Amino acid sequence: MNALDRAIAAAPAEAPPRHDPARAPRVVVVSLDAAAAPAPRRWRWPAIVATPLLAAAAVLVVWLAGSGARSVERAAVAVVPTALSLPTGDWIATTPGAQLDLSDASTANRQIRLTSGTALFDVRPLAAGEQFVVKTPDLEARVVGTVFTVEVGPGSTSVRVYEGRVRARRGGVEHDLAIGEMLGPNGIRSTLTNDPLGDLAVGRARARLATAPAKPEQPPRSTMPWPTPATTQAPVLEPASPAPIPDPSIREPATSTQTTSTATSTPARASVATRGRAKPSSSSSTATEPTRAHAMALLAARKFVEARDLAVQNSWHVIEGDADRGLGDHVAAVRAYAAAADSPHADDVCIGALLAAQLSADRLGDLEKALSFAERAASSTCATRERALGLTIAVANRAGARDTATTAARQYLAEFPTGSYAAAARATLTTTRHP
Amino acid sequence: MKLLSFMHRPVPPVEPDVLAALLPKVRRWVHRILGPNSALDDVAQDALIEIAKALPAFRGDSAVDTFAYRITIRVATKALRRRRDEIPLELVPPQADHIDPESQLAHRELMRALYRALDELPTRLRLTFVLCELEGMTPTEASVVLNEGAATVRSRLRRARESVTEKLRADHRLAWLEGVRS
Repeated sequence: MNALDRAIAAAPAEAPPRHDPARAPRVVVVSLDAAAAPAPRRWRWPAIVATPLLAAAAVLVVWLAGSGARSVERAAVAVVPTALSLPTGDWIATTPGAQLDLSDASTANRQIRLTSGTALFDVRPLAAGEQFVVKTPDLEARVVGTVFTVEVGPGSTSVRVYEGRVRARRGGVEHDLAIGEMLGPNGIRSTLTNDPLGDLAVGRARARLATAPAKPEQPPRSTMPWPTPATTQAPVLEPASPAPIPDPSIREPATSTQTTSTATSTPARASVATRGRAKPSSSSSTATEPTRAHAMALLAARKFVEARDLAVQNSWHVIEGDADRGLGDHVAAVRAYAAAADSPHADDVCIGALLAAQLSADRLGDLEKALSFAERAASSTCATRERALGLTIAVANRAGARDTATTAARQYLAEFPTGSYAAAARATLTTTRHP
Repeated sequence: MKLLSFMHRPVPPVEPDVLAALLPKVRRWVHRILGPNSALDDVAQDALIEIAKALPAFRGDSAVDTFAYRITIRVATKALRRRRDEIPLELVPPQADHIDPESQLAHRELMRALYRALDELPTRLRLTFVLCELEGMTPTEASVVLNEGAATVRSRLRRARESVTEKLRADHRLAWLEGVRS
């Protein structure tokens, strides 16, 4: 044993000199008194100089925000979002310079026109008959209790979804956007990026999840660190005891008309509505024909058995899985999600695989199966790729599959260097290098 | 008005029991960082004052011990910088009475040599060495206290060990004592 090892072995045994126990209370009292004493005033002159400078800066920011100067908007965006609480319980935050017009603020019909800038909408879950509409020069969004941002850029609009699920239509093409997805100004779907209000939106979405009232019949919420896909949140967003469910295809004729006229008059226009809402004139469904929207409305009303029956009859596997989850049958839910992952519909494949992976890891503890599903959800054609890679990293780490975790972490960092799970990916690579 | 009331909300008082429980730990941490030193109780008192000031703002982001350890490190580091110019290294005899005089002498010389070697290390290397080798923390745990990356801590620990080994090997008094004992 060399001197270093002997010193290291001997040093911890050497206790500090004995301290008189009778002195301890005195030491504590002296510390508390000293801590409570007012701190000496320092930096008085710099403070006197800085105060008017700060005041002038604040005035400048307000003036620039009011003038709507686009050149300074980006710089100030992340620093000073302006928040507004509506008496209806909705919450809106905007970037400085955003032009927002509250056309109608009644409880039944909230209409907001956004002509420039970015706004975050945290919409209170709507009761039957209520609607919340956001209009921009090229887009119209109708929501049922969700958190999303709308950014009006030069010539086009981007939509980013932080909670709930949104159906967006641009130029006749429909996109189902789930949590963590965005529809860019060029019409390309991707994971969330470059949102000036992104941090705020994530905070609102998390706060909403945290404060949602517990409902025993509700599908158990994931304990995973990533957001639970919207299908399982739908029950939370709807009123507790809705009236008998009307057929969604004839539920809101006024809005359907609005959207239709918008789409036909301007092809470049886009519309956004929550997933499951009946398609306006383009929909082939009739009032008597069961639709996915009908099944989702049943889920929202927490009529899981009926929703499940309807989903099974029509092979809507994701909805079937959601219903099973609501009934607490996680094994059946994974089976249904797995069936969705095997279906010919691309959207269902990705979301089904992701949900199956998440549920397998989170509820069933089957990490091997979870990894297998996560791999499918991480397909390059899937919009769920980022979350699936994040899931793969977490599950592989938990399962001790270092190679898989390292590979997924490298892929993640290569494609999403600033993504939500970048820190976890880096930590995985660091741990691998220094086991 | 809400903002104003938030700004003027009463600061929760610090419980004396919390400080009393931390006192022995703070003394031990200071002792480990500074080594045997007559300024131990003064530095521990300073650290406790700083902890009492900071506790009302403690948000529970970490364990209280980690929070207190960070503050103690900050205060002890200041004391280290002051002491390097002012106070010569002082050795306090070990507490154990059952060790024979020869072993006591060897132990004192070993500790003296160790802390003299640590005195020559840059502060960050010294803190890393103390936390990992004397306090028995893993590099990951030490990285939390030091607010550094685990890889950085590992690298510093390696450099600190190499440096201390060299200095102990070059310590002629320790070498002489080793020769006498063998």
